[in-house]
This record gives sequence, C-alpha cells and structure tokens, in this order.
Amino acid sequence: MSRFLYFLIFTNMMAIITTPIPRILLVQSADGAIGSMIIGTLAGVLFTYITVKFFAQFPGMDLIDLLQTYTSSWVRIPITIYFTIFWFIAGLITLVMTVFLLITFLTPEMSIYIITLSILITVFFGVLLKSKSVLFTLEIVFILMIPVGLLMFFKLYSAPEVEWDQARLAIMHINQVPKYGSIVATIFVFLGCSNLIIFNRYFKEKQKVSLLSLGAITLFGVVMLVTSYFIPIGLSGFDRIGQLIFPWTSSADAVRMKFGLIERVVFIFMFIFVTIAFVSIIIHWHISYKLILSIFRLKALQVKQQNFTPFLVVTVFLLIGLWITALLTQYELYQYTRYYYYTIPLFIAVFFLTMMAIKRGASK
Amino acid sequence: MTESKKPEMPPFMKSISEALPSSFDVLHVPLTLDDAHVHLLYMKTVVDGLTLQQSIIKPFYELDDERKFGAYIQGLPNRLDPPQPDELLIMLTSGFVLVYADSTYSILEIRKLGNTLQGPTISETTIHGPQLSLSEDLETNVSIVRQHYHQPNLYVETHQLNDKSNMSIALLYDEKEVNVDVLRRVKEKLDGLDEPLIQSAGELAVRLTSRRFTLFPTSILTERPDRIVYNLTGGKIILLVDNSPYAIVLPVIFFDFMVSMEENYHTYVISLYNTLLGWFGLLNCLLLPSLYVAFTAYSPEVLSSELTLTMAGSRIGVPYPSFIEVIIMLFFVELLTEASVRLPRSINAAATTVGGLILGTAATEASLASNVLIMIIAIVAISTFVIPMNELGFAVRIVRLLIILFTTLFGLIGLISGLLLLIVHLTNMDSFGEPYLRIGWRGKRSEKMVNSE
Repeated sequence: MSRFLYFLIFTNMMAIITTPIPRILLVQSADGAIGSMIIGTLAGVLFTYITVKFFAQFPGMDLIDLLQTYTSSWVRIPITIYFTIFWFIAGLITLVMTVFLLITFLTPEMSIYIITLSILITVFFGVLLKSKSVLFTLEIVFILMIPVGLLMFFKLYSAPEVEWDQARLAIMHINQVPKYGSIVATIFVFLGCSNLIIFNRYFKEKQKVSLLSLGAITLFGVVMLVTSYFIPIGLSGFDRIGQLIFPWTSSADAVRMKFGLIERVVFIFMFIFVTIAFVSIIIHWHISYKLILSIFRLKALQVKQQNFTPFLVVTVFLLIGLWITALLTQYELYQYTRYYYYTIPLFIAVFFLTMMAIKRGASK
Repeated sequence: MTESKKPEMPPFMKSISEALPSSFDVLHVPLTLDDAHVHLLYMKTVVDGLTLQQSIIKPFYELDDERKFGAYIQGLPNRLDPPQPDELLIMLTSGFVLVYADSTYSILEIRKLGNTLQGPTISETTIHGPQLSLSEDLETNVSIVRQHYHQPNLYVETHQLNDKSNMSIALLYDEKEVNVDVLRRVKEKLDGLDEPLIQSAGELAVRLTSRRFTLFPTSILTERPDRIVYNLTGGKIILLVDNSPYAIVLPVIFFDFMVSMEENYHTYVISLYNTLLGWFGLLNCLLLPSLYVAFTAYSPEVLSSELTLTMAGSRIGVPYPSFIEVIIMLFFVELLTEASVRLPRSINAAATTVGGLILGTAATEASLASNVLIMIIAIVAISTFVIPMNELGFAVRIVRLLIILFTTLFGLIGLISGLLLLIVHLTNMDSFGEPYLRIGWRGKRSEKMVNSE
C-alpha cells in the first residue's frame, strides 16, 4: 500500500480526539462501549479491506471518473451529492469541535468568530490545493507530528496519574450488550480509506493489501481507541467520566511535565490534535469540493480563462462553517453528531452499491 | 601606411563595416605583402591582440603567399563560415574576427576572455570543501565544471539570450540522469524569454519563474563548483551565464536549500548534527518572535509558571503590547543586518557590534523592550545565518513577519494556522513542474530523479 494511504487512514484515526467520538464512547462506558468498539473495529477493518481492494482494480481513477465512465448520470448525480454532503459534514464536525475545544481551553476570551476565522483562512487555501499537494501537505504535517506524538504516547502511558485500576474496572463491563451508537462511532474511526474516492487518482500503481498492512491499520486504530477511551477513564475515574463535556482533554490536563518548558502537557497534545484537525478538515472538504465541482460549474463565473466556481464553492463552505459554529451549542453538537454517525450504515450501503454498479458497468 | 595606399576593401566586408558604428575600436586592418592581400575586420576591445598577432598576422608574413595563407586559415580550429549579416554583427561585437583571404570569408573566434580569475567563495563558505568559486567567464566556468566532472554524458548546450545583452548561456546536464520533461520545460522558458535586458544569473533565475509575485526562490544560485557537480549527479540542470560568477540550479525542492556542502565532507553523525542545527535555526528564525507574542499576549498559561513569571517580570515597564515591541526590535535587527552587508568589510564588524550592543542595552534600560525579547531577537538574528542558502534566509525573514501578523491577530492558534498556511503554500508551488515541498524518500527509485540531494 502507498504510504499516503496510511497517512489518510491514520489521520482520520488521530482526528477522532477533535470529534465527539470519545465522548460518545465514554458516555456509554458502563453500557457496552467495549463490545461496541470491538465490533466496530472488526467492521471498520473489513470496510478498509474491501474499499482498498476495490480501488486497487482501477489504479489512477477516482470515483468521479469511474461514475462518469461506467454509470449513467441519474445514478451519478444523486450519489455525488450525497457524498458531498457526507464529507462536508465530517469536516464540519471536526471544525466545530476544534473551535469549541480552543475556546474552552486555550483562548476563552476571544470571539468565536475570530477563532473560527483563524482556522478557516488556512483551510480556504488548503481546500483549493491540487489533490496531489493535499497529499504532500498531509505527509509533511504527519511527519512533523511524529516526534510530538511519540512524546505524547510516552507521557500518557508512563504518567503516574493514570489509575490503571479504573481502566480494569472499565474492562469489567465487556459483557454488556453493544450499542448501535457506539458501534457506528467506532466504524467512523476506520473510514479514512474511503478518502480514496478522490485520492485514488494519484495511486497509479496497484495497491496490494497485505495482512501486515491490515495489521498495522488495526493496531493503530486500536491504539487510538484505547488512548481516547481508557486514558480518560484512568485519569478521571470510571464512575463520573460520562459527565465531562471534553472528557479526553480535561482528563489529559492532569498529566504534568515537571521539568519541561511547557508544564501542562495537554497543550502539546492540543497542538498535535489541532494540527491534525486542520489537515482532516482540509482533506474532508477537499473531497467534498472536488465532488461538487464534478457536477456543477457555473458559466457565469467564467472570466477569461479562469473559472471562479471553485472559489465560490469554498467560500460557501466557509460561510456555512462559520454560521454553524456560531449557531451550535455544545449539547446540540453532540446530539447532531450522533445522528450523523447513525447514518453511517446507510453511507456504507450506498458506498458498496456504488461499487457494485461500477463493477457491473466495468464488466460490460 | 597612408590612406591613399590602403587597398580597396572587398564589397561584403565593406557593407559589414558600414553597418558597424564608427567607434574607435572598430578596426579594419589590411595586410599586404607583395601581391598578397588579406583584410581583417574586428573590434579591438573584445579581441585578444596577442593571439591575433600570433595566429593570424605573423603566419601571414611567414607564409608569404595568399593561397597558402588561405589554406592555413581554413584549417584553423576556431574558424567558422560567416553567417547572416545580422548574426555576424553580434559575433563581431563579442570577439570574432572577420578575415578575407584568398577570396573567401572566414570568421575566427579570437575572443579576449573576461574575468577568468576564480575568487574565493563568499556566500557559501565551507571549511573543508573547495575554496574557489566560479569565475566570471562562461568558457572558464564550463571548463571548471568539466574538470570537476569527468563524464562523457555531461552535455553542454549553449544558447544566446535574445535581449539587448545577447549574453551567451550554457545549459549543462548529465544526459543519463536528467529529467527530460524538466529539460524541455526549461528550454521552452528560455526561448520564450521576453525581457529587454538580462545581466546576471540572478536576474535570469527570476525571469525564468512563471509567477510574478513569488517569495520563495524556485532555483538555487550557487557559486560553488562542488555544489554544481553534486546537483548534476542528482539529475538537475545547471545554467551558466556569461559574466556572472553564479550558476543556476534547476529544478529544486525546498530541502535543497537546507543542504550545506560542508555536510558532505564530514562523518555521518557530524553532518547529521549540522543538518539538524540548520533546521533548528530555520525553526527558531521563523517561530521564536511569534511564540513570544503568543505567550506574552495571548496564552501565558501554556508555559510553566516560573517561565511565565520571568517573562512577565522582564516586561515590567514596557509601555506597549508585545507585538509592537517585537516588530520594532525585529526592524532594528533587520536594519543592522542590511547595514552589515552594505558597509565595507573593514568597518562592518565594528558597526554591527556597536549598533547591536548599544541598541540592546539602551532599549532595555529605557524599558522599551524586555530583556527576554532582546535575547530572542539576538537568537533569531544569528539563526538567520545558520540557514545554508542565502536566498532562503531572505524568504524566511519575510515569512516571519507574516507569521507574527497571524499570531498578533489570532494568538497561539494563529501561529499554528500561519505555519500550516506556509506549508500549504510551499506544497502548492512547483519548480519547473516538480513539486516544491515534498519528502523524497531516498530508497525509492521512482522518486530519485530530482530528489537525490
């Protein structure tokens, strides 16, 4: 598998800290979260396997090409619109959550519009990049984050503040019946490979899915899930963890680095996760933007050789982002995000049906 | 020889001579011995007089026969058939001699070479590497490269710029390693150049980039022969310009700017350490002023409490917000840096030391800047010079201001945002079709073409 595919998958996994997923899981910690995570992981890895296998059959072609070549337009347009919305909301959730995180922990006195704007300026240029450059940006950011990430894992797993007894207490609840909400939230962690629908254009060599690469993906996903689930429990205790609004960040604030320049390590963690969130928003919205542009391009915005539709689309994205961020409360974000995750099985169904339609078109 | 005795100029030479301006250095020299007549037309100031005397005038009187002399001229290695009159005029101005002998015209290259002296390296000094830079003469430079790189697949193509300077440039590449697409693109760019006057390698490098407003250079200017050869083996294209001691290296990726040639002359660990120092310097230079703004004005709680208190204590009495403080002090340091470049060598050390020391002490004593900031500014000023390539240093100095602006507006998150924006900008750029910022993994053959540096 290409290293960029790993980056896409891993970034999606790391970005869960800046989504409500840890909270969704922790709220149900006494209610089947662990079982749900196991089922979700298995389903997610299976999804990854099938998706990568499917796109490996069409090296160098993205979903837009495939739909245009092998299906009729009454299949193509609804599917493209559905995927556009799906990816847009995925980026939106990360954006809103990141802004809430920042306004709570870093700059409580700043206006929410200014914080959102500071993110959106960079996102604007990031989304408008060539897809190839998005991958390069992703790679650079990912590699820059590795040393900080290693420090983070080292600090978290060696911190004396983490009560592993509490984590063991949580494991005792493995026998509860898994819940739908937690399962789909876990599956979302593994959806990173679906970004191939645009980026497959740059994977010109045939991808081979070996057992080792699937193992690496599973391992990284499990580590991220364990970090986002058991570390807060270990730090804040099992009983009341469901009452925290930002369970992960609030709990990680307990870890100290006594001799470091930055004593509260949570800021280093936030640095990683905010940066990853930036990239995650860029990736999701870039896909959304590419999809929408494949079905609509305004002739009115043609000035000489430059068409300004891309700028219009991204500006609309940003305005919606700004509006929604200012509109939502923490509680609403949590609720709506849950509804969004509830539709993931529908998404997977549509995704697989599209694949089948393309395969049927291709075999003709 | 009086005017009346001067033999009649042959008609073609006459027309050429009339097209030339009547300046003092245009010479028409008729050589006459018995009934042998030979005519020379050249410009004295660009032709090497001694060689002319040795290879044309002396043999004429020794051979004593027009036919034999004609054959001798025909056999000279630097002889060409005369081209079209327009082109011929340009050739005459660049050191060619038009010879009429035995009723044929020949054109001989007897050029007075420019500055063939190799000076010491100035902008990229190393301790262990070669100490001499390129000269200011194109042929000498090509020969320097050839002497460093004994390979039959080193191709040298010469072009002539079609601007007013009509400067010759040489395109050097290793035919086995070069990326053909890039080569084609560079040639297209060279042919499409539409500039009234190009005088140096730096100017040509700027004109070759397609975007008008760029901050980061898309080619390296180097004066080191070893860097040229190093890049040739990496499949890059070298452009040498006549009268310029700098060579242009294309295409480049961002990481090329972070390579100092010194790193090749040390053991692995030492060069790794040097590379890391370079990167650390780059980060310092980019981030330290913005971090100061972010930590004093927006998020003091991020740092450990002792450090925060030290910084706050140092800022007691400073009457304006920290970003004004940073911008004022940075501006002074930029002035100092610029002054030290412009001043003559003999006094610049004194001027900058005195300027820096007095300014720093006085600013803190007048509580116009905090002590911590003076330290940061000093570190930043030094770090700028750790960056191996000068051109990147300039770009970083400007980007730093933009990141300070972002931090001033948005705080710590603005710093992250600005840094990401920089990365996004760099990945979006390309140098002659090659992505500018990307990580080239050395092991992969498919990516080795441009990234072997």
